[in-house]
Amino acid sequence: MSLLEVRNLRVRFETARGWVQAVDSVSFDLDAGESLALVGESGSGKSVTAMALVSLLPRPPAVIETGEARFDGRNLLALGERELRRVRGREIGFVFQDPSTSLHPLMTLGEQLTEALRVHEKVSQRVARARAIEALAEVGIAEPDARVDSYPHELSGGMRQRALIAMALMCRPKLLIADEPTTALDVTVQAQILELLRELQRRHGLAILLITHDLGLVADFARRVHVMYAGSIVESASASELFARPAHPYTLGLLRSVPTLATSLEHPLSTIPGSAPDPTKSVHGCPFRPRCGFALASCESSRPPLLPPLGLQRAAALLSAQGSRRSACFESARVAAEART
Amino acid sequence: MSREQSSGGGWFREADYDLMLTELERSAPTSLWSEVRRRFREQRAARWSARLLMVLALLAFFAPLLPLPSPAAMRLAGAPHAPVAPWSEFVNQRYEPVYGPLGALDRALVATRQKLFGKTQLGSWLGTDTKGRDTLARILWGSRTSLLVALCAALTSLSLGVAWGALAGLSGGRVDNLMMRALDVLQSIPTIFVVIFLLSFLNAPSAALGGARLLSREQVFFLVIGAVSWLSMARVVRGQVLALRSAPYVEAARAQGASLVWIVRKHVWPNVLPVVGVYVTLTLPAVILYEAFLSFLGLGVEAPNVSWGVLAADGAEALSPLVSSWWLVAAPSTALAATLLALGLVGDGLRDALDLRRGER
Amino acid sequence: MIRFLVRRAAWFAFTVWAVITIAFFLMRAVPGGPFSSERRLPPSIEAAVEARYHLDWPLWKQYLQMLGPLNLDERGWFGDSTRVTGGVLAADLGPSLQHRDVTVNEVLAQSLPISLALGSVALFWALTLGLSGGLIAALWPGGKLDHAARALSTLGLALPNFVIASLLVLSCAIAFRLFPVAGWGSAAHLVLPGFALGVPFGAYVARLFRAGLLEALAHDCVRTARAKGVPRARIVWRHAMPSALMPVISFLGPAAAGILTGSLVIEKIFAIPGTGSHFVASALNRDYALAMGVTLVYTVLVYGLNVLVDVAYTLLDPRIDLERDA
Ligand SMILES: Nc1ncnc2c1ncn2[C@@H]1O[C@H](COP(=O)(O)OP(=O)(O)OP(=O)(O)O)[C@@H](O)[C@H]1O
Ligand code: SF4
Ligand SMILES: [Mg+2]
Repeated sequence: MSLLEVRNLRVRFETARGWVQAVDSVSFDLDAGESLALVGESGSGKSVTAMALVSLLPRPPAVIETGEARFDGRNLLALGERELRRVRGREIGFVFQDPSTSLHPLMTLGEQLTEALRVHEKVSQRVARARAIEALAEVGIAEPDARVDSYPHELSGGMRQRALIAMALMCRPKLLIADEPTTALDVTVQAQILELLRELQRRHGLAILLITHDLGLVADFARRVHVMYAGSIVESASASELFARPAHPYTLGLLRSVPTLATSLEHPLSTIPGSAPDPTKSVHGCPFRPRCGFALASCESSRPPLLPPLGLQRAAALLSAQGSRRSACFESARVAAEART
Repeated sequence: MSREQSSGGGWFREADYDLMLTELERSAPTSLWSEVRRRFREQRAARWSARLLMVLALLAFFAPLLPLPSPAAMRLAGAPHAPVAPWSEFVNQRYEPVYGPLGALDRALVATRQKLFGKTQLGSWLGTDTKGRDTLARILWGSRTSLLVALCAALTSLSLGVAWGALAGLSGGRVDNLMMRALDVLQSIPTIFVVIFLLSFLNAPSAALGGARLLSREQVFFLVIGAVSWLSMARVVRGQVLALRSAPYVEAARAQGASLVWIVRKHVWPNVLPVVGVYVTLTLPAVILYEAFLSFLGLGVEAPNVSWGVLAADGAEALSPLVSSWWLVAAPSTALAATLLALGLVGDGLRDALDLRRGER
Repeated sequence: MIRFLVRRAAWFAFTVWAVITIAFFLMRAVPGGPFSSERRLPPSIEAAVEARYHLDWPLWKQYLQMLGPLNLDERGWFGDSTRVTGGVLAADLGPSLQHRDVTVNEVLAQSLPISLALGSVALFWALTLGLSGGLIAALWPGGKLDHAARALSTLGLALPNFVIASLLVLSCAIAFRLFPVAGWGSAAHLVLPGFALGVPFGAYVARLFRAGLLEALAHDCVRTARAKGVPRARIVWRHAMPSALMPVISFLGPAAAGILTGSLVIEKIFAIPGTGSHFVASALNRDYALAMGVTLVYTVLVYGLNVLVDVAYTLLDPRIDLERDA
């Protein structure tokens, strides 16, 4: 059984300009110790999906319409605030995007690190402090016993992110949700942080849900990748399959906009034309249609379901034993064929 | 602003200034004026407050014209009289013209009033004070002091304050530094004490001048109000101008060779204006309060002139466990409180309309 | 840190000196003296009285004597050898010109504790009302309590303290006879005046605190805390409160100044024999010494409290670099 099973999650925001369907029927599974990536451009609903799982969304305006999130056998979305609090921080750790605002500026690292411990486990101040120092050391912060008394502003961005990771892991959770953990950092630090996450995952058997808009990061981090567009998952595949043979035009566009060694004059970097749809308007047909280079007339009338891509089953079966790839596009085969050339 | 210099002046302007700066940091460039006006009108409290203030201003201006008893006419027998309800005595014929020295305009207004209404005057709807003077008349005449004070403060802060701040902000560098230092010094003097000094010393009759006064108390009074009311405005305007000067789009305009005048007209002024507007709505209640405060201490306007502060002081004096002339306290207090409240609500409404307070809702 | 404190202290000393000097010359620059206006004394007696208070000295000498550090007493120059210093620097403000046979120090020693007690009670009211009002409003933003608290704070800000005082006297003391209306003697005498004095500041504190709390609660780091499973009570108490208190703390300086100024009025209404009553009276009576003493005390209080608040603020916020910011 999976550690986390999300089924048919729908979240909307009730705003002054009408309501916004931020997350639309999202389902995915995550096994213990596995890593999974949620990829998509800004505003595609990745953060909302993640925060909905542990009810971190402000309510109102957020409304969770339907959905189920089974974590270790319990439906998180049906839990009361008290039970949820016991899950948060203790069983599911969270790392947020911006390390400079996610730490409390007026509290020492030590206090922020030990807080989760002291809330969830009855440990003495001394033990908690020792464990905080240990945790700081584990995430690679030099002189942890001095740093434990520093304030966030005394640390560099990379160190703050490391501290945040240490904080999320204080109670040894089974799942770490990392919401764009490297976006605010420069490239070398990004690599270090990802390496650290991988290392921690190996050591503690941690499951990681990595949220990012950068497909480049995903390649050698996650086994499975879900691509989100306008609140829905439009393609789901193992990382290797996805890179080898994207089956959704949006994924293809994303891949082509990632610079690689192969980027050259013949295969120049491209961007996806147009912009994400206005989330306050509900759409008929495929939400990607206005930006899609593969669109046919049929794409306008009905919405493509997330299914194993037609005509690709055989190839998929060859590529991966699991054969669990899915794409929400009527023209998956054409897209995959195009991607190969 | 360095924080060490912020203790002078009226506390509440200083504090509001700080609050406003934080608001400004959050604010986007101002939206269209029509949009602002629409959003302001949408706010019921602010809209009604603005109307109330307009009515009050008109009443204050035309007070001499109204069929009121004259504010200095006494009726000592049996004073203080309790309020007489309008339905039991709407008007009476006891009007006697007793006024202090009046300006030409007011004399004309009073003359017109006498022609229009003759001996008719309203009954003592709000009672009379311990000397038998009509409370309603005194409140309306007193509101003229508040109006004058407000005008005086608004004018100085709009002219001197805005000019000073804009000049400092636009010139920048050493000139700016010097001008701000000057403000610091002025503001670091605990104004209220200097004010009391000035008032009590400058207007006392002096032997050297043959018993005459250096300045009349009112002159000193308005001088003082004017002098303290522009300081914070200068700061606010300067801060805003400075922020705008380094705004990317202004730098872009400058890089394209736009003239200073053009930049000020197109970019700086439209963005400073709302702040100035909001700040005036903060200044007005503060100076009206200031006037009332000084008058209450006996340092404001002098008899036979009245102001709400004087009335409140008289009322407080008349309070004793034996005779409770509640109307002498309640009437001027209500007038003062309603005006200040209305000004506050208009200010809040304006800030909301300008979207300066998004974080606060 | 030391440098920071030294600089603050230097600024403080400079301000006090400037205020003393300005006040001194202002007082003397204006025509009329303590004995010239009302009581018409025979010239010989007037001269004798003036000599007694050194009003016949040249101005610079009076100034030096008032300020210290030289003790220019009856015998002129350096005085006797027992007291080398005097004047303000030695905290000796000299005899009052108006109250015979009483020194300014004695007047202040008697009245200042009363004013300070009043101010403390007012500050207590301001903080109690303001913090609890702001907290309640921020815990349920948009709710009934929030609206009530905001309406009350708007009202509290609009009402001048003397209006509140009069209304209190009218309702509380006369109608219900709960607390004494006037005078001085017991702690109960301070309840109403302190309340009247504190309410406008409480209203402002409530606003500041509410806005601060809401802003702090919407901050990213609160989301982090929630993700750690921290209970809401602790989030409000430990995470939001300290940030929200910062603007309140920095308001305490201006508030203290405002409370001191306000006490002039409140002491008058409630017939409290505090320092405030001496302020206006001494200025009107040209009691140079007493006026100087009261001005000095108020300046020191206002400025001292401001500096204190500043220092507290800088100490509480670890992000402020004392060396650089000083
Ligand atoms: N508090 C909110 N109120 C209203 N709408 C919201 C709110 N938070 C998010 N949304 C909407 O939900 C949608 C998804 O937002 P989300 O934060 O999940 O995007 P994201 O994929 O995480 O993007 P990013 O890469 O920028 O973090 C957006 O269209 C946004 O408008
Ligand atoms: S379904 Fe049609 S429009 Fe949508 S992505 Fe596929 S080809 Fe494009
Ligand atoms: Mg996000």
